[in-house]
Amino acid sequence: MSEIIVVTGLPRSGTSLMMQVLNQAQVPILQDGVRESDISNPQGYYELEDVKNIVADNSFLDHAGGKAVKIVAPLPIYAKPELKYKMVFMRRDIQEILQSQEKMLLKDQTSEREKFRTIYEFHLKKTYRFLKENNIPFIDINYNELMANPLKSMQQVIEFLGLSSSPEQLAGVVNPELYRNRNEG
Amino acid sequence: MAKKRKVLLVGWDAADWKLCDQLMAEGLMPAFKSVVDRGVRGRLATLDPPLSPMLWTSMATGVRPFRHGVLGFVESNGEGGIRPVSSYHRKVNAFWNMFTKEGLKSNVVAWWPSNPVESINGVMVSNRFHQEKKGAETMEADNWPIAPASVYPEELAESLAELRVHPQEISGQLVMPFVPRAHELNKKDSEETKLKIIAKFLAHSSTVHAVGTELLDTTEWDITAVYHDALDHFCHGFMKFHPPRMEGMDEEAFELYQGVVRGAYVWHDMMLERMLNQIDEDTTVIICSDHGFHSDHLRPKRVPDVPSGPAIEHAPYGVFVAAGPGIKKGEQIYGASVLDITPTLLTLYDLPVGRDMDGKPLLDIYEEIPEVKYIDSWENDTRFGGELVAEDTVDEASNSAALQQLIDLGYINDMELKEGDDEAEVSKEYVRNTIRENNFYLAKSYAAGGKHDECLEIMLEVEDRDKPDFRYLIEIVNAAIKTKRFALAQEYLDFVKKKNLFSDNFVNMLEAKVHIGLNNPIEALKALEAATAQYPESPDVLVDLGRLLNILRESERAKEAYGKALELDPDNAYAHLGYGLAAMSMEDYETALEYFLNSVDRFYHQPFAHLHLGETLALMKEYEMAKRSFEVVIALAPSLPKPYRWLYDLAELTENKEEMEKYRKLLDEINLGEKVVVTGLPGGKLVDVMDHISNAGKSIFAKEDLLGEDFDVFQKDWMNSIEEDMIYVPIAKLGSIPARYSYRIIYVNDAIENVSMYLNERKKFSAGTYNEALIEALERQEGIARVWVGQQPNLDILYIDKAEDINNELMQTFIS
Repeated sequence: MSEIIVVTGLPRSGTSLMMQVLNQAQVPILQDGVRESDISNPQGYYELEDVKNIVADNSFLDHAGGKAVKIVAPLPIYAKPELKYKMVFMRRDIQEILQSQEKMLLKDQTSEREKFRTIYEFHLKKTYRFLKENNIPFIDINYNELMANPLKSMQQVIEFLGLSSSPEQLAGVVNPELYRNRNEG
Repeated sequence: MAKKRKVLLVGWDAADWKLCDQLMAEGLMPAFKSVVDRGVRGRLATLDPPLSPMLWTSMATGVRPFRHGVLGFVESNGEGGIRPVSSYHRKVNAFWNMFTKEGLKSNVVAWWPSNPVESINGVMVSNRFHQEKKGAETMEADNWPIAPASVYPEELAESLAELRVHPQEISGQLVMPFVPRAHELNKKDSEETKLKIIAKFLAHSSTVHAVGTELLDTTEWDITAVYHDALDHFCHGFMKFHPPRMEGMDEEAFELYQGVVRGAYVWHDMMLERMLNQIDEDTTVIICSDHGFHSDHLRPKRVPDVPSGPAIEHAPYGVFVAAGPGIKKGEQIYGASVLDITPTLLTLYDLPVGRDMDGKPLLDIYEEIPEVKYIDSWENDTRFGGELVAEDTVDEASNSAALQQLIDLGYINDMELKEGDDEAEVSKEYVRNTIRENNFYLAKSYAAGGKHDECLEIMLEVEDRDKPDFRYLIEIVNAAIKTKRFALAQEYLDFVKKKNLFSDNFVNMLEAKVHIGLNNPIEALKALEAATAQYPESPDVLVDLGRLLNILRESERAKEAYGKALELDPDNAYAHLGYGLAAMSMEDYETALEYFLNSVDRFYHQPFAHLHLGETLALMKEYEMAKRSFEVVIALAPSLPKPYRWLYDLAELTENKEEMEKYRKLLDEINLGEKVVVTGLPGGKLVDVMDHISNAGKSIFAKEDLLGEDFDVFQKDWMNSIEEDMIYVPIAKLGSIPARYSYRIIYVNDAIENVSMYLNERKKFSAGTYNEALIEALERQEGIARVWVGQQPNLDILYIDKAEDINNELMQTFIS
């Protein structure tokens, strides 16, 4: 059975975008469409409700071979280590992530930025530790680079996952218009 | 053949040396004294948080709570509710499991927590065995079934149950020794309750004692461990009445109850006497407590209204006494911790100590130090060590009674139900808060074990800004500082200031730590001086102030701050350490030695304290003792390079080639290389020397400012990236060069007046040609630097008087 493709990363780091790329590449997506698209993610979230309950029940992964599923960090640590995975790890400047989240939640969290930054650092650390301890192959895709040079990033994804699409076919999904909350400070 | 080792281990929760010594001197604890006289004694350092179920489990396993899994007084029952701590959550082997694996027989009585009991080789009677309540009801003495899963083997349950003493059986006369004027009580409800509480504690401890003594006589055993929680309960209930009368204490109440705590100690001694009469002199006796209890001016004026608030009354050191064959007599041991009990028990039976244990065997107790065997972990040993006798089921009535007991003792909060509240919702919130609290204890346990990242991660998850809890916020700020996340610490400090959650002096103290972390000692000093002015009697503030003054090399003032801290809290290990450091930098080695020894006695797990102790001993030419101290440092912190250097130097001094070779090899593994450093007073001669070096074709890493204002040695790994042949290090920053390099130091000598003149001209100081303040500062700085270089193991130093000397043969060899 082929590997489960997991797209991970912190919320608002381009995980939905990467799911969209995989969708474009004809990779079957594990999703249920419960979370509709909205202004923060106009193309949709590509989420599976079961993922939220992964701590208690990760059996949905048993039938996920060959499919792509979005599991935000640090939830991959609750995945079954005995299954085979390939993980695409979306990375983005944490400051930008925080700004993007604040915008989405319509909440000023400037007085708690360091708190969330630290929590996210821990989430990333934990997730990487899990990947390394379980020898799970992964690739880091930097959201900011993806936006600046989509062809290059797409080539990396294609090579890592062994996709048959061309970078040009996939890069079309990337819409720099959606690149908001750039950290220019 | 040597006689088989037998051990009687007696646990007295909260026993404290201060009262033990006082009562022994008065002849009121003869049994305890007999053990002290024929054995070794020491203080047993507690762990943070000092909560008994966590501590006694650490005592029985040799590991910290974040590893053994018993956290706080209650735990999740797995069904959305809570129950009192149990054996279910313990994740590692206790000594009775290890002994079972080895075929040794254990009797374990009332250990907290030990319900449900385990099917060990021996007998186990749990801490719930004496419970007389079921739900809210008190069972009658003649209809009193024992708590489920509280006896193993079960066939003993019936006969042991007969030995129980019900609180109703404790007559007024039995309470009289504790409250001699009980007959004068005017029978107010609360006074009645106090007598009933005493009766209950007496009944419970009588039951534990009866079971213990029965098992001593009627079973075959290798170790009998009997744990009494009563002393802790007596102290929490009645220490406030203990003499001298506390400020604000009602005089009548003081007169009535002032003897209760003394009575409780005497009562425990009487029980001990009976047990000592049951064993022969070949039996090893160990008596220990998990923490002490403040009985003097350190008694808190009020107990904070937070979960586990009463733990504020605990003192940081419990008692440890051991006597028996092969154990020293009449001696004191140092540096023992509750983590050391199990490793020590293992060595008594020549069994291996787990390398994964956080504790160490107390080898100083032995007349002849035994060779200690080690295994990686007892957790890998698959032999049968006993298993829980009950499935993880909920026994509501028994649990709720035990929970009520914890609420009555003030260890956990009761659920508050107001009119109109949805009970299910309140109950859910209560459970959530309880689990949150346990996570706080888990985080504290990580912090106490030096795992500050783990602590912070948990605390950030449990902290809730809508329901701020000052204890949680303090933990976060401290962990943020420890992990050098100063912006995070500042963010939380801004929050607590905005909400006015801490006192000003406390905020100042924490802000000072942030300033220190940000390499801003002057601001830090201002904040700490403000805190000291606001709260001159806080040992913690004084210790922080002393630490900062030591960093600023203000040794006299540092000593003064630490001295005051020690007047207020003579057992403060950090104050002893800091005082020693100040003395050391003033080259007063005798004083330094005394204070370093005091410090490691009070808190053993301090690699830097042992390091400074070793350095002081080496400087006093006590090479053998110094060597032992450095070996301790390596055991506690194997990646610290300095002790290896010292050990190499000591081996060289004593011409021990084998050891030289050994430490050379170890040093090669950790040493990052050698650096040539140029330093000296920042004057014309130093500039000349550096020019000469440059002209000779050697490159020097140097910042613009000779005084080093632009030189940040606190940057991590700052030296790693320097590729120049030599590095100029300003004299004031010399003490901060990283220890993982070896150094050759070229020290440029210059007259202080010349340097002062040079700086006056270059810096355009207003004082003209003779600048008294500057001269004084330079003298001080040079004095400090010379003392420091004389105390370091990892450097060779060459003094240079004139720039031309750089060309001489010796200097060329030195720098090449």
